[in-house]
Amino acid sequence: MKVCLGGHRQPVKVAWQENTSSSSYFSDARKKAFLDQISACGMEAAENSDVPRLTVTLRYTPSKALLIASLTEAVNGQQLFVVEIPRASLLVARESGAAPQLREELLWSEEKPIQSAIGWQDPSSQERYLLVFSDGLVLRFRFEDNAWKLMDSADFPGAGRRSRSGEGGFFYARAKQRFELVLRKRVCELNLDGRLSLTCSGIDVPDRTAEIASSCEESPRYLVAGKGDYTQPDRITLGSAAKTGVASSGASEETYSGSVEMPGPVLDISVAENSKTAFAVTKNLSTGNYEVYRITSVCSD
Amino acid sequence: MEVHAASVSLDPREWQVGSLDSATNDKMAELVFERLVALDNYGRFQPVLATEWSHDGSNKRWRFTIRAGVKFSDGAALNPEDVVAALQPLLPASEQLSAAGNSIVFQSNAPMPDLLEQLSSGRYFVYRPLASGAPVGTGPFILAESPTGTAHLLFRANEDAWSGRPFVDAIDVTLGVPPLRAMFDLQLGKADLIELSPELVPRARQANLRVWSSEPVTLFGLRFDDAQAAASDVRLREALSLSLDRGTMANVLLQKQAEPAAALLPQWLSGYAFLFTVDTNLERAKEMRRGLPANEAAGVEPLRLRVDPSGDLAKLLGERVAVNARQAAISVQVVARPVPRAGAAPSPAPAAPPSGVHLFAWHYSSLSPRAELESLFAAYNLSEPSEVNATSIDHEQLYARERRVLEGRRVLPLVVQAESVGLGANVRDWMPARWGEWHLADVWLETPEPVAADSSNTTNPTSQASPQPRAVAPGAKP
Repeated sequence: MKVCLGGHRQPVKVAWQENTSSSSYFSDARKKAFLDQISACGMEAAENSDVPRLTVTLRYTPSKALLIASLTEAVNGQQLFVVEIPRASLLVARESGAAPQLREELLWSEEKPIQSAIGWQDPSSQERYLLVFSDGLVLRFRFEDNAWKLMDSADFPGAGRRSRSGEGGFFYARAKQRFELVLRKRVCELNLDGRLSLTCSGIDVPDRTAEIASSCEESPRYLVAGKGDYTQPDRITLGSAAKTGVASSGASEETYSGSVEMPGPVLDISVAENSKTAFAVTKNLSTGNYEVYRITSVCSD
Repeated sequence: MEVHAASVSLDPREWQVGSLDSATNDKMAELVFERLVALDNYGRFQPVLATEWSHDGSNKRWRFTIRAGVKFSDGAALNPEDVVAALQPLLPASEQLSAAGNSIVFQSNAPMPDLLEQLSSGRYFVYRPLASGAPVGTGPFILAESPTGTAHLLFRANEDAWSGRPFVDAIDVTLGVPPLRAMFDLQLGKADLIELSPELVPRARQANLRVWSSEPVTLFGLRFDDAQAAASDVRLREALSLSLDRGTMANVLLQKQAEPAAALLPQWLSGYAFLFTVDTNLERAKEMRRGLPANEAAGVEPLRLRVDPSGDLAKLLGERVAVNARQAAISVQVVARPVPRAGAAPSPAPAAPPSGVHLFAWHYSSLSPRAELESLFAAYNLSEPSEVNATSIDHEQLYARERRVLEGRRVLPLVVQAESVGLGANVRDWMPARWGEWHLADVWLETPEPVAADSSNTTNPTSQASPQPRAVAPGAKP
């Protein structure tokens, strides 16, 4: 946050005007960061009640969160300073050292749009594989000689309408112990023995909740992504363990622990069969390429 | 809620920004047209007809990739040229739109940092006019019937909508239903969704009807012009402002379905409206009035207040303004808007004495606070100092611009009013945007369990949840 008034040091009494939507935002760490910032800009927090009062509040518009600092002085009247923050970015809050953190690793990059990706490791051979759904094709790669090499591919049969419930992507069906591609209200079973092929049906569409587990917690946590428009770098965050419904407007934002910055909007997340790894598809805004990242939840010290 | 539209226009080029008609138009257009992007309730821009977008560092050039495979309801494929043809007429002359491959490019001399907010709201629908002039869209419904001279619109599900078929088969919209009758229709199951006028909201709640209210989306205010000399005096305008009891207007006249307004933009849209305050101070108003020339707005001729919106609510507000003003010894005469007689031959209206004050209603339509503020300034000739940076969307600048205009007291906000909707008990997945978009494509209707003649019969569970076509009646003029 940046608030600068001028060269001279001016004592101000800072008042945090909190409401239900800002209580989780004004953490002690953020208050300290704010006070450091205003100190750098010539203002100094003071407890003296005779000094001008700087009221800081957090308000929302449909697309922005506004940190509004208003300074009331006898001489100059009211001065206003507004810092704008994309609303969606506030979904990341409360950094906690004890909570699991996220790590990302770039696996694959290409110019063609990638819709979804998922990987796994063969427990016997320890070989790593990657499935990429791109341009109507499911591509299977194997990691050899420090590079992903294309093994084979299969067409996604039929190009029906887009589903209102989302485009979908890869999914590991735990009960059936197999990979599936869920798309346009169709479920396609991936046959990985022999040549890659798909067997599709139109029923029993599973819920692709992105739950990820870590060794330091009993309950899995939710991965949350896509908190921004397609012009902005995005982040993947580790959500709370408890299931939360759709928040109503104006409700306090959910709080999250770890997060990883991504180089562009996150288009899809699929969780691997071990539940400890997820695969995220991102469009890199710097290069324009579509990229696949492996996301893991690790325990911080 | 009153619907003041005598008819619905599905041609966004015909819409008058800020008018109450535009609110109804927008809701109907949302059924058949789509925009490039949408803003969700969490502040995230979501792709609709544009799948991705990017801009240069100065925000003067934006590129949107148009979704492939989308078809208009007449079967023609959507292409970038269609998008350009639909949106260019809605843009200011300084913004140029062109098609480039599978994309469209916005180019402007001034930065457009709030372009996404603009394109996700208001008139920025993509449509294609047919040879008959009727526009077709890519949305979840198709306008099937709109017989001339009737108050019915029938929308059928678009089976080929790229976004998926809506759950209901059809939506039958009836315009012009008196509010009380609409509420009875809802109670009797003849309608599944009605617009509720503010005075009926408490009654609907008492009757245990499901009621949903939006954020405040309509501003009622006073604006002054120089048609009467008294209206030119800023001291009189200030005295009038101090005499107004906005709390009573919001809580009594509007049955708590509105909030007192001190700003032109509501809090949910600007984020800073809470910084504006306005107090009722009758003593101060009287004192100021006493300091004015005795013949001004009291003796020789009253200040004439013309109520521009139709409907009883606006008239009541106008009368309340006159009552408040009288308490401060300011004489205000309410002048109703002339209503043309049905079937009467057009004839020159008798010359009405000029009005120095107008009561107006402004419906917010843009999700860009800057665009909304500028539309309002332009509509009511609220001039700003020439040094103002009109392209800035910086909220400090917006606040300063609004404050300067309000300090001039050429316009006095009164109240901001929410829209309310009554919902049938069978309506499911009602997930509107809090600024009033209904999102009817996501709604489905639970049909009542049929009464079994034979108690041993079992009910097919799927039939209970199957979507059925029902009626939607967006209220009416009282």
